[in-house]
Amino acid sequence: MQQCSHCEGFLTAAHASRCPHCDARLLSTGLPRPLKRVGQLVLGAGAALTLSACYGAPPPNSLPPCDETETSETQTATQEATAENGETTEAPCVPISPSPAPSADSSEATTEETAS
Amino acid sequence: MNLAEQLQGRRVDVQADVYHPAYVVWELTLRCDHACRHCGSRAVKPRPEELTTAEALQVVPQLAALGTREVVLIGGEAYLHDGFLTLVSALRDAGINPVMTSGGMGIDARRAQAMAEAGLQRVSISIDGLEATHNHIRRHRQSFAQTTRALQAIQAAGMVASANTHFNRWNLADLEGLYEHLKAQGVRSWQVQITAALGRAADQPEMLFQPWDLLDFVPRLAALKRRGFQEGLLIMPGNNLGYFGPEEALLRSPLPPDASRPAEHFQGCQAGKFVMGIESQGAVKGCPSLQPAYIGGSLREQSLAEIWQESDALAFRRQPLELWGFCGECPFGAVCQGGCNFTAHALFGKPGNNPYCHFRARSLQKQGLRERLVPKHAAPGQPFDHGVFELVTEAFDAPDPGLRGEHPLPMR
Repeated sequence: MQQCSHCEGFLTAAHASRCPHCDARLLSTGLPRPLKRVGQLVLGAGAALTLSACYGAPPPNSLPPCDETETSETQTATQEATAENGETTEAPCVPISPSPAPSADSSEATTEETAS
Repeated sequence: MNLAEQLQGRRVDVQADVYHPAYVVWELTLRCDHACRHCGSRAVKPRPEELTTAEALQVVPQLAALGTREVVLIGGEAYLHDGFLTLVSALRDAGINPVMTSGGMGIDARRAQAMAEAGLQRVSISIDGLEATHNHIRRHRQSFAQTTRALQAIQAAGMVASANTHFNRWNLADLEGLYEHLKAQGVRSWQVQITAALGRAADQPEMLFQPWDLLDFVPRLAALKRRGFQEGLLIMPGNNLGYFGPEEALLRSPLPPDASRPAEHFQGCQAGKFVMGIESQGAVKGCPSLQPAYIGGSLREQSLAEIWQESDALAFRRQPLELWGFCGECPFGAVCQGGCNFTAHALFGKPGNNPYCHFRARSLQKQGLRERLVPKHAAPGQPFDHGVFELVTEAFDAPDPGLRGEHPLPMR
């Protein structure tokens, strides 16, 4: 599916002259720019998606954590990540907040208002 | 299994892959230590005739044989099923990634350690706002504090902490504050969805979004997603949040925007194609949130393979849906297929027309219009039931009468 080069909203063949999202005028082809398919470095093919379900859990955050000593002053550090196809690329990394110590209270939780 | 491998387990190519239940959500029991106001399954008491541990263990190799990669154990509260830890280990030993979604009430340091030892690597805690809002929705004065304890215990035990949130008119104002809270608690990924008119939420329509609320909510969420990519908190929308606004590609991607990758977008509900739900009494559906009409069969009467391969009710999404209303004329309809089916069914008693759509709300706004949901018939009071709503198209600047009653919490 194509995207508007101005707002990045998706377009269909029905959007011949104007972007339905930002009203930007489209090129005569009806589509402002070709979809980029240069790499597929990490996620795979163009028809791929991340499965979800409303009673499920979010997918994991797969970005590698940064070395916190290197990112204490900035959160925009990058590090080399190895993609599935073996190529390496500069990929963002993420700082991880330190985990607080667990509560010493190990007693079972009790409900208070579960009257239904 | 590292996190990149776990993410790959949640990825499918909808054009190339053969339908199989790659991602399964399994309700072990409807017994719960919460009785939340928005609970779609109306959980608190167990269902009659829930699967025993022995029966549930027989399902695990059937899942593996069908190619299941990840199972999210839920309830009620999954840990209130006697076989919870046994099943976690059985899934792990079968090569399936076990994950859990929980309200967190009973996850202390001891239980978290046992969960990690059994094989859980990732747990998502349901948090529905900042403290006052969350405790109101969850109907428990200590619930928010317990979620914090649970998040700490999960990480201390070496597991990855995630979070799930339903957004609605009661907690819309908490969005940015909750992001800050989750980030501070070390949460790495956050699933955000909207409260559907399902189960107990159908009894309290005043809490539900009106469709035009997405005009405020989606751009705010997109701004947080951009921040999250920089700050280490991945925000992912649930299937009932979207669709095809200008933020669509940003919202759907699990990695930061990169022109070298194809932009991602919603590709229709995957229920019964790559997603499956199992209810605690053995009923199998294409998605855990679907209404009883979509139950494809019982694991007590048929094998999982038979249900998956032969049930029309489970496989309803393997053919194009009959779209109607705005969705019937929408240029994105062929791809979107009316968005989330249980959400649409919960409003009108059938799928194919979903007013909870960002593109739709924006399109109507440009015409000076909006759609308002008006409750017409109440839900009967069963798990995953629904009422019936009427859709009124009106001027965009018409007064907002709310759906019913007074908001119990201040609005933004």
